[in-house]
Amino acid sequence: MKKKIFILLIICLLFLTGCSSKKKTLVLVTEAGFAPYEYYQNGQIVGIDIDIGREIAKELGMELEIKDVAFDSIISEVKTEKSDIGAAGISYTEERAKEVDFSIDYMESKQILITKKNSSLKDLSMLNNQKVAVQLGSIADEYLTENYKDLTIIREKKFLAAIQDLKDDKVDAVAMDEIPAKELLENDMIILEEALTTDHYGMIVKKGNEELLNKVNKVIQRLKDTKEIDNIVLKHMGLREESTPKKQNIVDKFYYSIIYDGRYKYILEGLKNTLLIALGAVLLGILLGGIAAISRNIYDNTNRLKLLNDISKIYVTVIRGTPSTLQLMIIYYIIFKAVPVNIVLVGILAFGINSGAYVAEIIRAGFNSVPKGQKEAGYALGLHYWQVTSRIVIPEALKNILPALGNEFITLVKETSIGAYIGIVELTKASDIIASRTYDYFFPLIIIAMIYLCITMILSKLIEKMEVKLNHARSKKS
Amino acid sequence: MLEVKNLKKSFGDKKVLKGIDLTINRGDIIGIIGPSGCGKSTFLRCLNLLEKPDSGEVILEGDNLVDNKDLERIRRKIGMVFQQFNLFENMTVLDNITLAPTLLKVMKKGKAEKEADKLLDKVDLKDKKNNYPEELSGGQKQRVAIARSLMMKPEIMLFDEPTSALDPEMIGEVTNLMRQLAKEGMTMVIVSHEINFIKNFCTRVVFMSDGVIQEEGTSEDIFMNPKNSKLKNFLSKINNI
Repeated sequence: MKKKIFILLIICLLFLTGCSSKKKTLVLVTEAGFAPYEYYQNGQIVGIDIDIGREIAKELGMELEIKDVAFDSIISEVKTEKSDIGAAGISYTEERAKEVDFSIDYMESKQILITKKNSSLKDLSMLNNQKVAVQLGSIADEYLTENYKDLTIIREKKFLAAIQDLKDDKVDAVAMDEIPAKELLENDMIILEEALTTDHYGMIVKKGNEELLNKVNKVIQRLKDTKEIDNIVLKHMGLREESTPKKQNIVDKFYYSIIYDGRYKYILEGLKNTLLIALGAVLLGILLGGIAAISRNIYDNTNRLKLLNDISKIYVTVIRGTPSTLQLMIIYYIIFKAVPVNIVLVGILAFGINSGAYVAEIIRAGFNSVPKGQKEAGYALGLHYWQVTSRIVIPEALKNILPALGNEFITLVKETSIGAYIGIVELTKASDIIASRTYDYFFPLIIIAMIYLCITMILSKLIEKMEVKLNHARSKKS
Repeated sequence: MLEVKNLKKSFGDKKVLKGIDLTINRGDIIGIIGPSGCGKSTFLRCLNLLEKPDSGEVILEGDNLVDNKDLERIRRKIGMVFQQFNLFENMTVLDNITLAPTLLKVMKKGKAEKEADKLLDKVDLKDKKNNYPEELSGGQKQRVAIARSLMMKPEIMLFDEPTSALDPEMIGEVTNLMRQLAKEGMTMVIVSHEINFIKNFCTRVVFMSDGVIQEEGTSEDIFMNPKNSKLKNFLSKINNI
């Protein structure tokens, strides 16, 4: 019987995989925070890379679907066939070329330095011993690390954070691509004339997918030959002043972060996904944690369910012993490798599995906090293990479990912020999207922080109420 | 009615019970005395398998409790009263008393509550039936615990230091209740440090030391004519207080 179900499951999986390879859409993966190459406008992802992608889709006779993930994840997306093409101003490097196949280059980008106008750093020959901020893993990062051993390099997750460092005089310069640099230049900043290095952007496809690569190359070549590509670039340049003026007071900041261009919609979308994932993960976490804790309790008390006990132990050890970001990526890129799946669902699954391990230990500790004598009194009366556990141990353990469980849920709400790694638009990602348009890294973050705070405060209040209720039921019943 | 044969129990390397034989007859009131750590509480807890013996037999009316698949059913016939009362903290007095008989379907809820009223009347705690354990004094808790055991209509009751956790002025209310049970013919096994109570109350006394029964006999035998040197030593220490 079990075998039959297993075989059926495999067939289903194969079927799903089969479907995914015959789809009519071309999935382009990017990180949409890199204007003018890819950025959000009116809730849509647009930009130079997207326009080129559209041309490729047209050539193939397919619909274009755009996926927004963390830059670090783009290569994994393409390698695991979750996406067909990666286009995110990706510079050609030998290392990347070992992982994926590059198209011919469609853009040449200079890596330049941005400094403050009043800075003593005037040209590259003066560059040593200073502090330079870069985006982690970018070409600028690689180049400086390789060639300027005396520099202190501050590696930020986003280049907007690097710019913020320069604004705050925490660093002497920022090293990055020239074209987006022009977009986000503040009035008191300049770009040094001499470029650090020049690199070439290419699109990436899965290694060996020559059919697709040839089409991509053909389209890029055509755009270059007809100079069409220059028009595309021009179309996306110089939008900064319109979308977000450089001089802003706090009211302007609020207006441009929240209201202009319907940007609150990103926050609402983020809030929806954050709450959805947190709620789903909480329920799944309680289910898994409860099963793990109870199976361990059954084994400890009756010596039954040894296998489940061992599995639970391994589960808790592995999950607690590895970073949650890694778990999320393993589930998405390895376990669901060939299966098209809703990313919010993956989020619920990953965070639920993660939370379950902690919940298991919380429940176990709660069980152990019930004095042994309470159980013995039950057994002495002739009650069975399950009667003792359900009627005496669990109700009494609950009052110790609940506060710790509340704590776990509050942590979980905040932890969903790493969902952006696989492209979930949750609250933190929403703030990143807005920041990438307003070029103001802090203001949206503060708004998001306040929303997180509100959620966790409401949660704390709810938990407090439940605790009071639980204690009242006991002392006020008489 | 209860027969113990060659009972052995170790905790790790420490041998606590080194082979105990004892026969308990209906109506017996057996007191177990001995120095601290001699294994008397462990022995008592082996009688209803709260402690699982390493070897030996505990036979109640022909059924061996050790490795018995139907252990829970046999346990109903053995009441137990603990030093720390062990009332269910999350339940009222009434729920404490009616939980086991209703869960085990020995009685319907209505019948169980009627029976509980009767027993609470007997232990003089009728007005406390809706209180929680934390609102009761030690003596009251122990009387509820005894009532809880009686609900299952046990054939024998085990008392594990029933008065040790009580303030002195509350010991009487518990021992009086035990005397009343004795009058009604209940078979009892009592582990206690209240030597005077054991001496006056028990029909048979067992002296344990070093994991074995050193001497057993009537209260008079043990306290007036002790033969075993360890027992003599033990009694002389007590009399010096």
